[in-house]
This record gives sequence, C-alpha cells and structure tokens, in this order.
Amino acid sequence: MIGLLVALYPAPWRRRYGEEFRAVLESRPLGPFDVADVLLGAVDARLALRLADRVAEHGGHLAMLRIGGFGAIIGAALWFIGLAGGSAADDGSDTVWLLVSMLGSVGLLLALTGLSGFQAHREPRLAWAAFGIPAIGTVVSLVGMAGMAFAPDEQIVGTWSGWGVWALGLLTTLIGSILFGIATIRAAVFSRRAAIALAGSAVAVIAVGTGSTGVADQAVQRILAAAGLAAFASSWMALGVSAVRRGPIRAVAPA
Amino acid sequence: MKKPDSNLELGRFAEPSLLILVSLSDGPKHGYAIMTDVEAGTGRPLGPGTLYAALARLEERGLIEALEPVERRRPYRLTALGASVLSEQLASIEAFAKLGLRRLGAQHR
Repeated sequence: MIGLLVALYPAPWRRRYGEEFRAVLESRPLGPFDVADVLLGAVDARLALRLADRVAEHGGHLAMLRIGGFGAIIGAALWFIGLAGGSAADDGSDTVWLLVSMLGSVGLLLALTGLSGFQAHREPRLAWAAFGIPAIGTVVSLVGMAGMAFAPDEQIVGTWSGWGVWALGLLTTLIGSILFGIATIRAAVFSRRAAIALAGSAVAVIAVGTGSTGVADQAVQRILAAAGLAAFASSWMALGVSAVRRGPIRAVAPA
Repeated sequence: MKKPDSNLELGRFAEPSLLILVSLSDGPKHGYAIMTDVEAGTGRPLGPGTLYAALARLEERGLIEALEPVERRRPYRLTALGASVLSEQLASIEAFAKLGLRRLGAQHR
C-alpha cells in the first residue's frame, strides 16, 4: 500500500523525498484521511513539476528572444558601420573596419539563431530553412572578411580571394534574409513591417549589386547600394527591437 | 541573506507552511516529528501529503534547509531567511489578532 502511494509521485520528487516520505508513512497506521491527503499530494507534486517545466521552457524561449533581439540590433549596426567605414576609409584603416563588420556579422549570427529558434515554434520547416541559408552566408562572408583583413592579396579558397568569398557570402546572406523575411511575415511573431522591409531591402541590394537596376552612372549606383545596405541593416535592427519588446505571455502562446 | 518576501506564493499551503516554520523554530525536526508537533500544538492533524508539499515549497524558497539524513529520516531546519519570514508573519498575525480582540471587546462592552 505504502509503495503504491509513493509510486504515485513523479520520479524526480521520489528521488528527492521518496525515502524519507516512505519512512513517515511507515511511522504510523494510515487512515483514510492520510491516504486521501497523500493522493492529493501526488497530484500536487505532478502539477508543480509540470509548472516548473513550463517555467523553465518559457525562460529558455525568452532568453533566446532577448539574445536574438539584441544580436540583431547591435550586430546590424556594427555590420553597417564596418562596411560604411571601410568604404570611406582611405587611410589604411580597412582592417579595423573589417573587424567591426566581422563583430557585427557574429551579432547577426546570434540574431538568426535566437529569432529563428523562437519562430521555429510557429513555423518549424520554414523558420529553419530561413535560418540555414543566411547563417551559411554570414559564416562565408566572415571567412571572406577574415581573408580581406589578414591576407588581402591572397587566394584564400581555391582561386577565390577574400573579397570574392565575402561577396558570395553577402549574396547568400541577402537571399537568406529574403527567406527570413518571408518566414517572419508568415509566422507573425515579430514586426511584419520590419520583415517586409528586410526582404525588400535585400532584393534591392541584390538588384543594385548585380547591375539589374538599369542605372549606368556609377556614383548613383554607389548611392543606391549604400541606401540599400542601410535599409537592410535598419530592417534587422527593427526586427531586433520588435523581438526585444515582445512580452512574455504572447511570446509563448501556442501555435 | 535574501530579504523576507511577504509574497511567497505558497497558495493553499500557506497555513501548513506557517505551522511547519513554527514547529522548526525551536530546532531541527524530521517529517514525522513535525507532524506530531503540529498536531500537538494545534489539535489538528497535518497529513503526510500536505506536509511534504509544504516542505518542498519551503525548501525551494530557501526558508528551510535539509540536513543529513539520520537513518531514513531527514531533519529540516529553519534558515535565517525562514526565521525572518516567520517573525514577520507572526508579528502580522499578532497585530491582526489584537485588532480583532479589540473590536470584539468593544462590541461586548
């Protein structure tokens, strides 16, 4: 009888209190009041365990959300500052700006991980597909930037120079960001405006970068590219802000 | 040491928890000793399920701590935080009881 009553409690509870609880039950004859009380206690222990699991899971989601949000805000800002600084620099400080941009890329990787992980609870397949491509693109561009910073005149992957690898990584990141924007719009977890802006600005940068805009003037092309990249970084930052601002209740609402 | 928190969210275990804290206020006791002590002090039985549900909550909130088991029985003792919370709660109950008695006295005068 006592063994059966103790077995009604969840395993983690039994591991902690089982032996002493059994000793208490064996200390005196059990009456109907005691049996009913133990049954209620077992129900309570199971409910408390479920609640603790949910709180832990909830905390994990929110931590991912915060990491992803701040990663997007800080990462996108550093990434763009590094790019802009590197483009404007003519005093040999390229390496410093590249390192700033690399730090930004690491932040964007954190953002992709945190925000995709969070969105994955709503749109698992799409979210993880939208995570994979930009994440790979960001890693490739990081390798390219490292090549540009530390081996600027060398071919770092096959016949590819650091700049070539970076450009390939950036293109992949932009394509992936379009997917990420679509995933965000469909999941409706973060700001839809920011998601539309992200996808739109990524399309615009690709169009400018591949010369698909029909603009011949190089100065205008540079302005368009800078504007597109600024809009792209701003969209990531806006997504980050919407992620950080999300309240805990809606953030864990079931799909 | 943590500050005493009046919002301990002990729910329906608030009363048994208070009884357990009072029972431990004169020294460590194991589960069965707490049960008999509470029964002797209040005249009401404290069921083993309720006892351990409350013990688990009190331990989780750092108001009591488990000592090394003696054979299969594990004694518990009040922590500094637990003593502080108990003192605060008893003072609050005392003030409330005095208010009630004062009002009752005024009505029957």
